[in-house]
Amino acid sequence: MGNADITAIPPLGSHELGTEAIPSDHYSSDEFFELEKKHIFKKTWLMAGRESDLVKHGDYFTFYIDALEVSIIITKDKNNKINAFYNACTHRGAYVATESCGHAKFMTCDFHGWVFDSEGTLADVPSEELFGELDKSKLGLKPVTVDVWGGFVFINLDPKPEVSLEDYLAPLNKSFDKYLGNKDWSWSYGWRAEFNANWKLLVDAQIEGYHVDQTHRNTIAGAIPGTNAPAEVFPDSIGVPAKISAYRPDKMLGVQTDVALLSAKHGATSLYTKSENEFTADDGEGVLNEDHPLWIFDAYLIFPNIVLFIQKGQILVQRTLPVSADKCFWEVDFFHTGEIEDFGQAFNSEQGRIQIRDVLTEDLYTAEGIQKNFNAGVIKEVYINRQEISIRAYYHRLMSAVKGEGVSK
Amino acid sequence: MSQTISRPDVSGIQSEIAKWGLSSTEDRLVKRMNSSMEEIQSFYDSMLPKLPNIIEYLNQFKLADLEGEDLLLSRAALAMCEVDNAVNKWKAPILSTGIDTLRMSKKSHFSDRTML
Repeated sequence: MGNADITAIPPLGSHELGTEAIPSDHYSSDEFFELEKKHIFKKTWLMAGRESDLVKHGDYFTFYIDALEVSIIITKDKNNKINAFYNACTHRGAYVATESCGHAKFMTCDFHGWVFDSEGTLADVPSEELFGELDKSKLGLKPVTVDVWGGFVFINLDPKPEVSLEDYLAPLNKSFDKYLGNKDWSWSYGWRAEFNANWKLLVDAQIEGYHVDQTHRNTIAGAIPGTNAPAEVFPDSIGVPAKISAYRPDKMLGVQTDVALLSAKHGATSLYTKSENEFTADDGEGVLNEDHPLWIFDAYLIFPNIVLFIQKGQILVQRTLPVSADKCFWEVDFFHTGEIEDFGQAFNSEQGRIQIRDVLTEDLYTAEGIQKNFNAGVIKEVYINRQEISIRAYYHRLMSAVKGEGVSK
Repeated sequence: MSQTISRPDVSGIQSEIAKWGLSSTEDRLVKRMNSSMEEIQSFYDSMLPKLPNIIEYLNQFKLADLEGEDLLLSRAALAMCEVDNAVNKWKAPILSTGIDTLRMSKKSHFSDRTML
């Protein structure tokens, strides 16, 4: 106790990636968006879903990449192998799966009834004799590269990705894979929204702490001061350009309401109130910064479109997927260990979820106005301080990706 | 689990419990957004003194076992989470510095891509 080395908050960030202003046209240019589609969304690993949604043979879910108008089916086959395919019947191109998730050991195209098994093999063709010579062995669903890390299913539209998923995600090492891949994690709830803003603006909003004091002045001001949200960059990483961390102040500031304090007796859902009854978390060594008494969470930017918040017993995943240069879908999902069994836990979940929801409405508030200013050419460049170095790291990674140099930094 | 904690006397605030004991978070959100600050404050002020005992009472049961008047009471208690910021931080029914919360569509599972 009282050890300054233990309680010291890391430096807010650095200028190691430079100090120059960053152009803003990559948020608004249709031409740049075409480069993103070609060099990023067709070439990098994209988080498509959760392995726990594929429990048994025949379970499947779909993943739609709006910008490319590409639908992917992810299945679990009879050998417990996870497969990914383009959601396209090889007869005349109709969707084979029309639900976002389900169970079907054999998937039947609604159009003419071609049947595919969960390995993607074309299993049956109605009135096959009408085709004459038909080699069904060559007409399976078209495969997509797939891998699993930390319990999350990633796909890559590149048939031969230049790096493995494991290498892509360094410095998130095997400890993260093990912790996040724990079978006890289960999806709890999530939200989804459509924005008239570039997809990266909604990522930007979550990867720097400089905004906290002003943006969140009506909700969590004081609970996580901007000065307690340092940034760190990983210049050698391909898929994880940066992270930010959040620490409580030594003495809680701001409004800690009676409702929040009652909630804190029963769980740790809220990020903004110190809990009396924390979540449990196995295998967190090397992942959770539990040695620091004020640490709340780390948020990792996983290129191109994920912000992964990791805290003890709770994971938040924010994903954005572009539709066009100035339109996107945003979603956030929560994962927890353990079921809610009593009312105290339910009260804590409700209170924490609503607090996070209200904070997110603030985070999302500025993007559409910024987009209009970029579209109108009013703002042509933005200025990044050392606490916002994650934004610069994100930009650098983006620029290297769209140069057509594959995954190289 | 057997009942060892007595049910708090909420007879004096039954009308507030009936008005705010709506079945889902989304229903309670809409109720808050469509209420006046006076209505929100009235609910909050009547519930808050009893809230610790209400939580303690309800917490002795399995969540799935709550029914009838206790289920209604539990939902009204959860509504306190919905009005908390309005009363203590915004002093208004709706946050003026955030997007419309109703734009955030509730998902049914991680891979849910249905939209509005």
